[in-house]
Amino acid sequence: MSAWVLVAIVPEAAGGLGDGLALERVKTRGLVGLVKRASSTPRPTLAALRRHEKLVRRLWEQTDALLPARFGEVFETAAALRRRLSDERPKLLRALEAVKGRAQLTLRLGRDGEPTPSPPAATGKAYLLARAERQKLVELSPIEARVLRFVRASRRRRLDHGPVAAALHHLVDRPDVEAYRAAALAAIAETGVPAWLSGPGPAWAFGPEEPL
Amino acid sequence: MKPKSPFGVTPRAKAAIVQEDDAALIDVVDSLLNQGVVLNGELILGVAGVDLVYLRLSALLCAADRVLPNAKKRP
Repeated sequence: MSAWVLVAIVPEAAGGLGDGLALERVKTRGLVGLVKRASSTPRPTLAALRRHEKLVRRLWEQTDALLPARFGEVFETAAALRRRLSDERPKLLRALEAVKGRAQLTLRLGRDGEPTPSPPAATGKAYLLARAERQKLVELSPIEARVLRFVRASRRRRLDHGPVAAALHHLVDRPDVEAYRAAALAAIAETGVPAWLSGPGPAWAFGPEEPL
Repeated sequence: MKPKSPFGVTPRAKAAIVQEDDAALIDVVDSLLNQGVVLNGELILGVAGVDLVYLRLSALLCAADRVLPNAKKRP
């Protein structure tokens, strides 16, 4: 079996991006899927995850608009990938425009106290709806308030388990990245709120499968 | 008596879970398995929205393994 492993999606205008990285291009109108050929679906080992991340980051550093592909996006043929790119074309083009010239930074906020247990759901649909509702309830933290002036778009996830209560993904203009980081780190130090900052990096959280 | 966090570990130990090298690891795992462009609906159902990051890494990789196409062939 031959696997077409999607690495990233870029605008066709990105030209020779990825040259020398053993990538192939699958083109459709205005879009290019950068793929790595493999003999089979890649196994999800930590080493494979790190390789994928490193490759996406390297590409992102060479261009101003790139949508990273989640690990394990595999197609059996180039035609199948081309069809999917074509089907999703309007959403992908909008997402590429949204991330152009920008970087993602993530603030993870520590949990204060016990997580609130979720009531049992009677059906799978009820569970998913309740979960979607909870995701909307992440409130603005004092740290986020301090960086908001740099944020062009944001996505947030509330986490029900573990020491991190919420992940706030921010899309920031690349020239503002250092100012954002300085403001975030100062806010973390001053407020004493447990939080962790990561980035800048590719816009992992700003793919088209979620509303922009 | 040492203060205990809601998770049964000291605050210092709790902080260590998501600092230094582990923070980078969390970022890699969270980004690659829980985010990024998805063109195959199967992956969206299998992974998105599941709080994978704070499971033990081995369990996490097993969970990811189960949604990949090869896993469907297993009994």
